[in-house]
Amino acid sequence: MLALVIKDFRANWKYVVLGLAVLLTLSLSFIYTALKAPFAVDPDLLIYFLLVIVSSIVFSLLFLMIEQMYNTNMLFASLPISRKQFVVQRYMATYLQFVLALGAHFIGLQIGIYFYEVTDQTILEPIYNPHVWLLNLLAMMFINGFSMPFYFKHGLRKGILIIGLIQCFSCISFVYIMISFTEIWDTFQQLIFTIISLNPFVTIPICIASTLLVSWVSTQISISIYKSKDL
Amino acid sequence: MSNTLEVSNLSKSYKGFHLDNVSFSLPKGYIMGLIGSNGSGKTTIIKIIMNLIMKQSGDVKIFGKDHLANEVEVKKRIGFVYDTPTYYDHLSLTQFKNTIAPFYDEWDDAVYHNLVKRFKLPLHKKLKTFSKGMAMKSAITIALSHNADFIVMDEPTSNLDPVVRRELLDFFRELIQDENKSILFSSHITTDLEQIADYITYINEGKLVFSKTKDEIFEMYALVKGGNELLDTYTKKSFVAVKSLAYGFEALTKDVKATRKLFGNSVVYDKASLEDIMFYTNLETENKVKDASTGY
Amino acid sequence: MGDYKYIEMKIIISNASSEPIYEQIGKQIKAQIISGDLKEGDGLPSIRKLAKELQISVITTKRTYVELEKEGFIDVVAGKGTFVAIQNKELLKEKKMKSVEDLMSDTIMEAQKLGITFEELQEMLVLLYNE
Repeated sequence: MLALVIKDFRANWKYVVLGLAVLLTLSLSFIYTALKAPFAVDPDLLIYFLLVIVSSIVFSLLFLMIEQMYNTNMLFASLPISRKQFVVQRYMATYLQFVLALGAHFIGLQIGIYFYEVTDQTILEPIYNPHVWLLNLLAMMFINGFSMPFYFKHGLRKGILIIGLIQCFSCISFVYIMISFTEIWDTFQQLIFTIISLNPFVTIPICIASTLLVSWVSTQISISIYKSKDL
Repeated sequence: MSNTLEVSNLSKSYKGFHLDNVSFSLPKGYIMGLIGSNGSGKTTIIKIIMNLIMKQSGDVKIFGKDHLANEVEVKKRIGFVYDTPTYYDHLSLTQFKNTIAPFYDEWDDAVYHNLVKRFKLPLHKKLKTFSKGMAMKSAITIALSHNADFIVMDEPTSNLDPVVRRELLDFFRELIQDENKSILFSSHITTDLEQIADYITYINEGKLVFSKTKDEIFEMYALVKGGNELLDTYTKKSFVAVKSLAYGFEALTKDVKATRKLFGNSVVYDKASLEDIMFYTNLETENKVKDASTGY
Repeated sequence: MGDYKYIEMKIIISNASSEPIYEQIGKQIKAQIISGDLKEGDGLPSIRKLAKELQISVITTKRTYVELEKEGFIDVVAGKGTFVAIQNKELLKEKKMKSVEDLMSDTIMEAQKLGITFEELQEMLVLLYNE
């Protein structure tokens, strides 16, 4: 299984490095651009983390694209690997990619902070809260749970339309609604605050549990889809 | 004698294509060639054996074990070469090998390096720079470096020049010196199979025409040439199909003995090549379709 | 048992001939045994080696050896190899006669096809034998 999970990184390490560098630069430039006027940064960096989530998911899509391009699912189907193992490794590799992506973002922020004297440190407080990064990871895993079965059913070419449309469209419309209707944005912020101010020892396990549940269900669905797929 | 491969009543339907109840077996230690025109079902059969495509009904046993229930165990002993491999062609052969090798318990680097040397493969150039012949040789190298007992190949020689083809055929012949190894490959280059196959399985339009030893096939079939005056509805029926030409006819018989009884020495008998057999069998099918549509 | 004595064997097959390949090989091996080129106890190549060297199917060489064993020309010893069988002097003489008889039958058939009479054939035989 380990060999399967790291195959993406082994075969495509150049893309890994390139992708992570891009993510790092994104976060780095956030420090330089967003903290200055006219980009008044909302104190809770919700928009930033939304971008983190989207960019990290796109990073993981890169590897699906590579797999599609090189037709490697055919190669791996002829190796002594069951379809089930192949599906599971895809999920695990994706989660590993998310973790690496978040790491790259975090490092990018640190580099930016190191070189750019931030006058108001309190703005950046959420960055140092590990719960925030955990929630980001869980959010990515959650969203991924909904899109992966489409990838296994239709492959990336068809699946990406569905995945991309669902994810991008929902993100864009979310941002649009939030920007246009400030009342909704305020209510949403209130909601987030309330959740955050709840005892993290309660909310975090709930988030973890629900994400794991979605991941597990998604994996089972993907396995049954992929098991009967003609390559 | 045990069978490396047993295919029974295999069926699969696509839009416009129907693999119908195909059965054949390959005993251990031999080479079987799978022939048939494009779209006849040979690739489908191979893909089903490797479980790249799901069968709809039938059984496949490899090394005596069901190919689905024991998929991982069975695949450990199979070396598979699929058409023109274009996997990860931005990698070098070494890098590609390092990606694949960990999946096989029995990976043998010594064997791998021997083959690399023998085929003169460059270890550090990107796979996409390889010629077709080299690409096929690398695929074969990888497929053979984990002590596989069953080599399955889909059109391994189809895009290669005659010199490389001959080299590969000689190599396969050498491989089969080990009576524990079996080879199955599909090809539309019938002359390759005539040279090297022990068994030949012919699939036409999704149906099995025959699966026999090469010797049996060439003893059964023959080309028959004679004067057109010898043809009538009765004699025509005794042939697989007939080509009527200006100065005489050429036909294929499936039963040389019966034909000899019927015609004796009034016709000329020639050895039928696999290509002849395929051509006339195909003609037979076309004629049947024509007859059906004209109501005969 | 060590390597068998390296034997010189000459087998040429013709794909174009109407005679099946296993018969061609069988004939040539028999001839070499009868003539003494292949001696009793000489080791023959395995069916796989023979198939490889002649570039033909293993099934063909297997059939050849099966026929030769049936006719008593060779012994296939499991685990050891294939060897030229000990030839009973009487049987060997019989086999030599048979091989010439076979050739004669072929000649007679050809003669009949071409319409040559028995007397003409006899004359030919006397002439050629005295050459």
